[in-house]
Amino acid sequence: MLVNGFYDEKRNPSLTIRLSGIATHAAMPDGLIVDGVLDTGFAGFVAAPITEILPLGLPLSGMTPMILADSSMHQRLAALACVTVGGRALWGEVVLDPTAKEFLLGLEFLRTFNFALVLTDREICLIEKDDQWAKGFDNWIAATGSQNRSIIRATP
Amino acid sequence: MNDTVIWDFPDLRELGERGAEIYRKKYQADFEARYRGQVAAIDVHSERAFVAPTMTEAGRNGRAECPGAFFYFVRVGFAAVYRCRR
Repeated sequence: MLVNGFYDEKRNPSLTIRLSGIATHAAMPDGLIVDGVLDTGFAGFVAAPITEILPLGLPLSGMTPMILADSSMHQRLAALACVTVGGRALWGEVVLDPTAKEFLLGLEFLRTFNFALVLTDREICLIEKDDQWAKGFDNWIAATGSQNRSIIRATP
Repeated sequence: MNDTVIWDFPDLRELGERGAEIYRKKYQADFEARYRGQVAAIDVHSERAFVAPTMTEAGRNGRAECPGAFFYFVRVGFAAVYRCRR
């Protein structure tokens, strides 16, 4: 599966997702469709502005400490949500941020959906790392020589 | 909405503090020796803990044993589960 992202008006790499809960909420029967910023500086699944996500009526699952960009630490609520991308729907813990203005999709989001993220100056592609992808990746390494393999292994 | 509005619900603040205290007293020393870097989900009512590589997996493991539980999530050996750079 290949999903296309886009650059938003601030040139953030972004992706359109659908968020929903366990029960269909009368006010939002189709869930909430939002553009999230693909943020590899965020290790989590999804961080969401609490005011935008409250109408979904997601069940609170817990609380977690989170360090913000200014190094301050805050307790944040977490809720269980279903995220749909490219027809695939998976559940994860969404961190509810009362100060955020945008949705963030972090490294755990990429891992949960088993996505490889490919960024160029104009294009953003999320490629599901299935057998076909693995075969193509191996072929690319074989075709471009062992130098690329060492670069890839050196990247954490 | 700001932090003050959220923290006007004292029960939530208490639940978070209770979770942190359970972790410190019952699990921290043992977990830091065995599960550094993993995420622990502490059920604040039963005081049971569930460890997994991610918050989503720790929550899933916890809900399988304690449906409807409210968890305090902590990354073992670190101050916070996540750092947000934005």
